Amino acid sequence: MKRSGQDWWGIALAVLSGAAIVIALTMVFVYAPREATMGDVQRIFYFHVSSAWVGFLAFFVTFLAGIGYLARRERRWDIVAVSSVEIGVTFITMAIITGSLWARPAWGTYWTWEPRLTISAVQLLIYVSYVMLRAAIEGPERRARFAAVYGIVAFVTVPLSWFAIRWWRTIHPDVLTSGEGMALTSRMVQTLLFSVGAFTLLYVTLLRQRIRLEQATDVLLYLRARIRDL
Amino acid sequence: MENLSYLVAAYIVFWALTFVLVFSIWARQRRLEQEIAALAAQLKENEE
Repeated sequence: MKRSGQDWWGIALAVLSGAAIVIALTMVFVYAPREATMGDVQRIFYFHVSSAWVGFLAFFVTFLAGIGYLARRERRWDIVAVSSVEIGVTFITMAIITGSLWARPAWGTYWTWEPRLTISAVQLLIYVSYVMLRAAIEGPERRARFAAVYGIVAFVTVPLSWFAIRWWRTIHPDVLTSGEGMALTSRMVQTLLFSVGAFTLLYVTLLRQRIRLEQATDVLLYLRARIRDL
Repeated sequence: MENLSYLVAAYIVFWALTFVLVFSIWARQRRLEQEIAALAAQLKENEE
């Protein structure tokens, strides 16, 4: 088992995603115009939507990696799945908190049990449970098999969350498909798209580093086993 | 800028959570690399 030394691709990705986030922030505060109804607090929207997007993307990658593991029974799929879940949980937490901070001035409350918010909270709990239950299972193959099935089943919360604001009566704005609740100008759309791109790059960077961390754990376990066998 | 505190808080949350995730990955990577180096040295010593 060999690990490469300096991760130049990782460093390049980190610099690129850092620069993209700084540009996105500049666009949010300088380039994007002030929203007519909500005022400056609407600027939360760009990073809120981008965080939710990364959360969904991360859980989708876990879903695909789960299928990959069940089909091939290769450890690399399990590594991708667990790495992606950790990032997804962080970004969904970010989306929920930033959403609450936007909701306070917009709705007059930090939280209300309407469909989208309720599903998001349940989704977060389901994926936090994934991490906790996974850690409690003995045996790498059993753990990976359980995690793969759990990751596939848990993914149902993503389309459910996406369609919640279309299927049920909700106060959450549906800006992306119907434009309800917020009037977006072309500059706003450009800022949103750039933010989503910057966050996606950040996700790729974090996923790469998190995968390397899991690979290092495998190397450590391998070395421990070799020393024990001597 | 009205409701500035909510806007500032939201972006602080973004930076704080990103920092926690990046730091957590970096710290665990560093600890593992130190352990791997120590074990590799021990293994080499035992094999000689």
